[in-house]
Amino acid sequence: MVGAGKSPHEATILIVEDNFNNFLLMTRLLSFLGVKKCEWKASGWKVLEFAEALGDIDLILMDLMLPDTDGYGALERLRAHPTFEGASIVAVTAHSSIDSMRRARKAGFDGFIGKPLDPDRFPEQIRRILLGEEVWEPQ
Amino acid sequence: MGASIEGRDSSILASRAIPTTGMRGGLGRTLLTAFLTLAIVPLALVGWYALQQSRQHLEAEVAGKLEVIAALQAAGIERQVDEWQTLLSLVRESESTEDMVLALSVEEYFKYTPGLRGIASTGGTSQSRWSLGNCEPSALYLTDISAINADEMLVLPLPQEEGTLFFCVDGDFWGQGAQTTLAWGEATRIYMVLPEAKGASVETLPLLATEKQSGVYRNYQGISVIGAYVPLPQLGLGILVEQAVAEIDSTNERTMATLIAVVLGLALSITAIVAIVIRRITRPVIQLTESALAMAGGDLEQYVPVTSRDEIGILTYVFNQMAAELKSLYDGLEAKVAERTKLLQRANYLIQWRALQLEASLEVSKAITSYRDPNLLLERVAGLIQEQFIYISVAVYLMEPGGGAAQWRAASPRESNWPDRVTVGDGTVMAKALQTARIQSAERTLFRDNNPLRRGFTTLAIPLCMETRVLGVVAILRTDRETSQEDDRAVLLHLANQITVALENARAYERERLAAQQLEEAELFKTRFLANMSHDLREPLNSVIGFSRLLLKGLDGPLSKQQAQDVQRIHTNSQRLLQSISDILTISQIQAGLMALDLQPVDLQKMIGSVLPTAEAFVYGEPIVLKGEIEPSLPLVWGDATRIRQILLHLLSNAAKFTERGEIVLRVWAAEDWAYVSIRDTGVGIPEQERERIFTRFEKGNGRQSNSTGAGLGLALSKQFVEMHGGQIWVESEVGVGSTFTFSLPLLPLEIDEGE
Repeated sequence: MVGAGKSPHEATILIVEDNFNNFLLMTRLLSFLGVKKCEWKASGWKVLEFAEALGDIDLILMDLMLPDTDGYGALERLRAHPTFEGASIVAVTAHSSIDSMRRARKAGFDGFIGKPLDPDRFPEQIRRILLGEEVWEPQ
Repeated sequence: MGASIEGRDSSILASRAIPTTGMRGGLGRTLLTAFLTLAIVPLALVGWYALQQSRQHLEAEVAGKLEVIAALQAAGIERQVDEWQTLLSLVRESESTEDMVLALSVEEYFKYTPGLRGIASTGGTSQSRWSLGNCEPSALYLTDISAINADEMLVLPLPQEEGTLFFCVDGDFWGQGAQTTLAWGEATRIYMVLPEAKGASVETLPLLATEKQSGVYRNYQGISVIGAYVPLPQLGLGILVEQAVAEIDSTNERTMATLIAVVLGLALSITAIVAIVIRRITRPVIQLTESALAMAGGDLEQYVPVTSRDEIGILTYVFNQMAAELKSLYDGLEAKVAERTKLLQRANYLIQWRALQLEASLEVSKAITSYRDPNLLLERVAGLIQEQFIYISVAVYLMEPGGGAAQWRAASPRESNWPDRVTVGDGTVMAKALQTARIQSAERTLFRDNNPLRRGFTTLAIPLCMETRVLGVVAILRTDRETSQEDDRAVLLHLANQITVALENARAYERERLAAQQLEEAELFKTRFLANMSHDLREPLNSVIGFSRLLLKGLDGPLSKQQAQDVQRIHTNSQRLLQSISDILTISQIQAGLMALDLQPVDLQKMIGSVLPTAEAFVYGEPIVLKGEIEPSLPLVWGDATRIRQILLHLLSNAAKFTERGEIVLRVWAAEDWAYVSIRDTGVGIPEQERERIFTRFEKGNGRQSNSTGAGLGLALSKQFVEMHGGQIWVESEVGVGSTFTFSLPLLPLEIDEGE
């Protein structure tokens, strides 16, 4: 993981989420951690569309149920894109079953956080991911 | 003659090797024996009887003669002794009178008494003991006076009033005269006997009585004799005359010889006559026997000449008739056998045909039961029937859904020329069979009557009937054969029944399969639906839980006590809703069979180390102590870490839910092949009647609803997970004291590597 070892202050986190409220919650929670740069895109296509403009991304938190294509399809494209070469891609989904997590692991995600997020644990989970630890916690 | 019979017999035996009994001279011998016995035995008996009679007669005669001789002799002796006695008394008297004239000297006395040698007196007074001349008194018990020598002396005792007077006489005094004067046989003996004779044989003694006697006995020499005895009371002795029986029998023997000669002659002549008779009887019998043996050997050309008009002749005649009849019967039989053989061959052919049909039927039956796809089934059946029954072609039509017409579905061979569709009323046999639900046939002929290639063809249509419904029809084109069509029809009808049943089965199976598939699809749909629904429910919950938590933490500014309480309620109930959604989803996944365990070696000690801090949250702020008692060096278990974690959290949160104060103790230990985990609380406890029910879905202990939370899916899920691992879960409880939930998990088998 290229982005390993970055402190929350320096990290740039991209949130791919079609539900604005959820994005808002995540940015609020991330702000407690000290994350300064948070990008938001509502779908995988949007991410690719604006990839050039996004610049360096350390972590992508990606919903799996997206309007145009699902998270798996988006993952493949993002992985293929040079912009996101150094980015960890972590699935954040309400499909929080064990099976979904396994599927995600198989598809090549770097981590898995189930929704609903635990507001108490979420900042810690992100901190660990930024430190290079793998986080697979559906609940 | 017997030899000639035997000779023939043995030759027959040698040539035919058929055992014959009773003809080995048996008849001849029997007849001969019977005749000889009949002729000789009575003759011999009569002869013997006559001989006996004559012998007895002779003996009586001889006895009489001997008696006479004895009497004569006795009389002679008596007279002589009388004479001597008188003379003696005269001499004694003259001695006493002294008369010289009359006085006779003893010398004179003896001079006038020739043969007398002396006289002696014994016994009595001394005066009476005296002797004259030469006389020695002695007791001669038995003296043969007919054979005594002249120089020997014969002593005659004469009992007196006092003592005994003895006369001593020359030995041959009586004997000589006797021999010559009487005509007796050479072996005749005359004895002088004292009655108490010691020399006489025992058998003689009864004779020596006071009366005269005669009889046959064995004398002192052991010779069988006839004897006659005459007593001489005056003298104190008797005369016994004996003649040997042998001498008497000598006359009888001649008679015997004659008799034997006669008997033998008779026997010989009888034998000769019987031999001739037997030959006359047995010769035709032997001839009959030989002919019968020849017939038994298979030669039915037999004739025995009739030589007499007696019973044998009749027997021969009848035998000849029988032989002739047998021959004619036999000739007829050959013709019959030929005829029957032909019939049998035909029957045999039919049986083979039937066997073929049966085999075919069996083949078809087997095929029928092994196909589930109706189309494949029909194709296979058509092929098999055509192949096994050697038909030109076979086709199967199935009724169209609306009825009234049937569609071609299968044929063998494939390229055979059958219409694609038959409609009721179009005149084909198939249509007729469909309409009537009965087997139908149509015949046609190729070539003209006198063409050698002329052949008959038959089209058969067998309906496939299910009760009153006609499902279709099997059509068959065949050449006319020798076998009856009825036979074929029976088998074909049977096959049609089987096909019908198989078709129905295949259809039922298809329906069943579709139903099962639909059910499966419905289950999958349900699960997918639930998965999507839970996702869609979780998405908004994410915000509800997240923001309510932010509020509670006071991150958006301080809340009043009332506000904090209200937000807490929102938060808690959102959590509960989330749990329910997730449990419902899991249960539906288990039901759909989509839930599979991800089995791996699991370090329980480590897992509990991470679970306990999480569980601390359940009892946060409550007067409850949470403790873990873990056996050191606990072996690894073989399980799904995520599920085990879920079970632990379920049970711990459950314990926390029902415990107000006290402690919750998590204990882990291993025994044999299992690891055991128990969670003990000091909660309200579970009444006995509810302990089984709490593990079923949507159930929880009654009476605790007021102060309990959760949909009750946790225990059901835990039970499912434990059982999927092959373990067990159970509860021990006492109301008011607490409950202990225990579950078991399999330990990692030794042969499975940890890195696997």
